[in-house]
Amino acid sequence: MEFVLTFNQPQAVYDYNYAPATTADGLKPWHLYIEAMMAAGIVRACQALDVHSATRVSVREGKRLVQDGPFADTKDLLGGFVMIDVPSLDDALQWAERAPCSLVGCTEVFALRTPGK
Amino acid sequence: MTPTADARAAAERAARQHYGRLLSWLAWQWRDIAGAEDALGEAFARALVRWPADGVPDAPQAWLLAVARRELLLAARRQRLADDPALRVLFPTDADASPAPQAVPDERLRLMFVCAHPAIAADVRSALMLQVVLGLDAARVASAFLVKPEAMGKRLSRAKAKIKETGIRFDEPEARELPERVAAVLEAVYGAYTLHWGDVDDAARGQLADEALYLAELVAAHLPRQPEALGLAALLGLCEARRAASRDARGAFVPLDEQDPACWNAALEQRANASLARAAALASPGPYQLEACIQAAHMHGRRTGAAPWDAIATLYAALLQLAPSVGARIGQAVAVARSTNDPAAGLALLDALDTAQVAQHQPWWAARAHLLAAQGRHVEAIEAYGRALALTAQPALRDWLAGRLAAQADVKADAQADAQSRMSAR
Repeated sequence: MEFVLTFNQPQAVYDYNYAPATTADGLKPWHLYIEAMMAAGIVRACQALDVHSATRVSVREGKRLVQDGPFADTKDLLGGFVMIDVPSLDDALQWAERAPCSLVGCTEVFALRTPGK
Repeated sequence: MTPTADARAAAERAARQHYGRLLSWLAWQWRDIAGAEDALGEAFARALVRWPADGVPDAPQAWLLAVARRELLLAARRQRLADDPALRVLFPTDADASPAPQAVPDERLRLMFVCAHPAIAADVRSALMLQVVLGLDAARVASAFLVKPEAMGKRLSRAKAKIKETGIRFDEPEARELPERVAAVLEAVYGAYTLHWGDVDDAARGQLADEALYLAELVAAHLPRQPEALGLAALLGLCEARRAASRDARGAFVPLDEQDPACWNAALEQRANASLARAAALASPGPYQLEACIQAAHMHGRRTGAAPWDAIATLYAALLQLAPSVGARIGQAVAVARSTNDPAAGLALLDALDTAQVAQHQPWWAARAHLLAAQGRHVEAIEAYGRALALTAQPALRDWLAGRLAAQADVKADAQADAQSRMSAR
């Protein structure tokens, strides 16, 4: 059963994680976390996102609206995701619980929609 | 009874007796609650057609199970899944032809844990368990939770879909999750039990209460190290032990302090007290255990002729610390009034409750009426009994309240006549 876990945390955490002076410390838990998932052989896809590049597009009455991020209406910013293959939601929730961002932001878990349902 | 009526009655009996067990087993095997419900529903529908013609089978439960499994397989085939070896195992075999009725293992606890899963919204867990494990229809569950049937139906199907699509585990929870998961299961069982209070029909109430007690004892048997599971089994056992005694030969309500302890179900009472003792030995008190203790104290008091009101008031105080509720506050008010022999002290506690919360609450009006009557405030007591009467539909309880009201009216009339004769004598 496949799930996508999305990692969300506040801007300040990203600032710390990606500042040259602190990045080694900041990203270490993430490396360990992803390594553990890899070792479990469950990772189908895995990607970090550039939070600063976030751009929001919407179309209203035929007009395209483009908004530069980060967005004021969200406290936790999406900074990455994994797609994993595990037997049940319980396993996915357990992996989500271990994500470093779950301590300061949150991890959202989605089951993949199976075609034909 | 005509053959059709006979078959219908047999099917309905089988439905009540076996629904939860059959559904739990099917849902556990197929990891699909909604699919299992559809298949079992079809099996019951077919029973109503077949049994009048062929006769009721020796093992109705096994018959229903075999039909439901075939239904599930057909549905699976339609989804082109039948080639999966995991599903082939479930094809009906010769053993299904005439399996013993007890061949269906009890997977209800497993299913209850699934229903109480943290990924299922808290406000739907109890309702889901009532429907899936006890077989209550969505309309009945909806009325118990005071929401519209369509809204409840939507919530329930969404929960079942989530369980299926995300493959929520049908195993017992891990140790670190256990307390939270057990609490959710117990809450739902208690919910099922309190639901029966609303039933007007004594027989229907009895069945629902029996099912809830059965589930409570099932949970306690599976989780013998969980004091609150034992506490809940004890609480429901002690209440149910008195059920027969709470009605006289004509079906009229008999309050606890007028019941004959010889009419209590002694075996059930003993079993409940044993559960309570085992819970106490685990030295971790909780609300269900305290409520069970209060029931045990009342019953002991009735036997010995002297209720330990001090102890009961203390137990209510402890209960209110752990789990404040309107019901416990009302119980405390009566206990305080009795232990201090001061109805005014009890009335003060009742009046301290939030009016908005109690104005439509029958037990509050009944307790108030009782304490007003004890103070000789007949006019107010009559009004309070009247309000209590307007808030229950149970015939036996209505008759009893009406009787109390009439008694107050008599006392009031006597007092007036007395006063008049004294006036005229002067």
